[in-house]
Amino acid sequence: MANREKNKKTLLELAKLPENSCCADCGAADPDWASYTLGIFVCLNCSGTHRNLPSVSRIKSIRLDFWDDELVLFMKANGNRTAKNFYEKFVPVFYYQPQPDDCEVLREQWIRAKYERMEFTEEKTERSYTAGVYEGMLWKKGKDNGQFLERKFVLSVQDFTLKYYKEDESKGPKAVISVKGLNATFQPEKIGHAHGLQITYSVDDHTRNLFVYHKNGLEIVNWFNAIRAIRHVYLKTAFPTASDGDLIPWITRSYLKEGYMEKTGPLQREPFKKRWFILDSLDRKLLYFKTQLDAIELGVVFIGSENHGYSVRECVPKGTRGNKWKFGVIVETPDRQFVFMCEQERDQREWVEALKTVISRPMMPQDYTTEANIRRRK
Amino acid sequence: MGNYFTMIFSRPFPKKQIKLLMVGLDAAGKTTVLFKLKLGEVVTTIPTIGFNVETVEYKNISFAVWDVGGQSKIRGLWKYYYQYTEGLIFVVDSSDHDRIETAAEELNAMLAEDEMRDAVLLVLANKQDLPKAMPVHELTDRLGLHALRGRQWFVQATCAVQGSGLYEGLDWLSDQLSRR
Repeated sequence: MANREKNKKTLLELAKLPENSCCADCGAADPDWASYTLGIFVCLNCSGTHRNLPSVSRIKSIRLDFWDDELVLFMKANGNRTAKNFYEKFVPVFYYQPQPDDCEVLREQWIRAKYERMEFTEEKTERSYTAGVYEGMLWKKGKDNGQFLERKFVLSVQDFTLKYYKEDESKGPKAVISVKGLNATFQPEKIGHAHGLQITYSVDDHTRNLFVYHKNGLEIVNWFNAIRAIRHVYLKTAFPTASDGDLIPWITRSYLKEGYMEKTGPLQREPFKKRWFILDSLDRKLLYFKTQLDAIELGVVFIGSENHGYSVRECVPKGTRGNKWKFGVIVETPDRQFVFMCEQERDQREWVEALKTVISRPMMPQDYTTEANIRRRK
Repeated sequence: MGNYFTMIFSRPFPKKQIKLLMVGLDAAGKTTVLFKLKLGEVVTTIPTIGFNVETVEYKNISFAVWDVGGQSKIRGLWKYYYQYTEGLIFVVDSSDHDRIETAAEELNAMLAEDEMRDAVLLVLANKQDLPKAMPVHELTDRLGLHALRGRQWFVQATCAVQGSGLYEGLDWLSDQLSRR
């Protein structure tokens, strides 16, 4: 018994070492679970995934389980850095490595890719998602209805496009999408499927959303990484002097904040209407839609920087009409003042915080083009 | 007044409430069993710290199913859940040959407790879909069930992620417990 207490202490000390202080798989702080077959420290969430792979990983809690001497020695001899040097030796630059709050399918497939399929232990020249062409079926939501239908998608590095087809493929693609403005982000809650992916691109200065999923988790994550691979090649071609570090944030991006707010019109006397807002922080766009799964936005607000006359604040609105919600957010732009209403105080705080993040960041050359295009649309 | 009578006559026989305690080693599949019964869905689980409890309605019986975490150090806490337990569900990972002895020890220690004297025992031989899963007769032997005296017990083969065997297990429990 004394041994067990000593072992627990040793493990807690091991887990505190800088190299083990973050989950080996998602980077969450202070992991207190461990895989005693892989010799790594992981967080509770990732331990749940490891439990499903008994042939490669066995899990124990540092605090809630007893540990035998030999297992503690094994943990000591291995640890997160050793495992990373082996299992993540050849992870491609563009490959998406999940963060603690990423969705389940991303984290699960990352863990399976590393330990079950051992995808990154050897330098492979070709993986299915780096071949330059990736094609297959995805279930796509109809533009104007809620029905998901199976459609063929083809991603090609030859012409930097993503194409998709209707049932009759001989008629040619339904859409040819340029990789230039392409983005993809996992949206399981919104789409109502654990493997739901939102693909976004621009058509005629509008943002077009496609909502897709695949029943197989590996397949949808392969699609995501295939899109990332081709985006990476495109960005390297478009900006040959930029470093990978500069380009990585532009490969694909998640939205800084999404949610419902109510908005009024330019006179601020129009009745408030509930709209779904998306803040794309990299593109400095606040887009709004009638519902969460709309194909095209109703409108867009460019969010510039402080020294260009943009600001955001909470407000206690007086004399507003028709709004059900009471927590106001005011966005000032050089052209117009926008008033948005949030349902909860927390939403209000989060929106102000998110908008401030964008406003406090200086504008880049391409942002001036975006601003001019949005103004021209009005 | 009208409502009062409707209320009485719509429920001539109040539903029987039964407490079931579900335990077993960590990663046996207890939480997956619980939510498959409750929601009919396979949920993604993480290790249970503490417990989950859900009521499952089946054959006019309302089962309160307690699912308690199974990490080695917290198995000692199972005893705090014994009170009023009429049925014990012991979940075993049938593919885990290395720990079947440990499972047997935990099970037999629990059955020796005075508070569990009258509880019927349902063993779920879970993860039958996995290669090398031990069949029911082998698990029965290795858990030492034939040596039990004065105890109603039954071993049901299950695969919780597919849902197979779970209702057969509940059938056996409701048969046993409704006779009381």
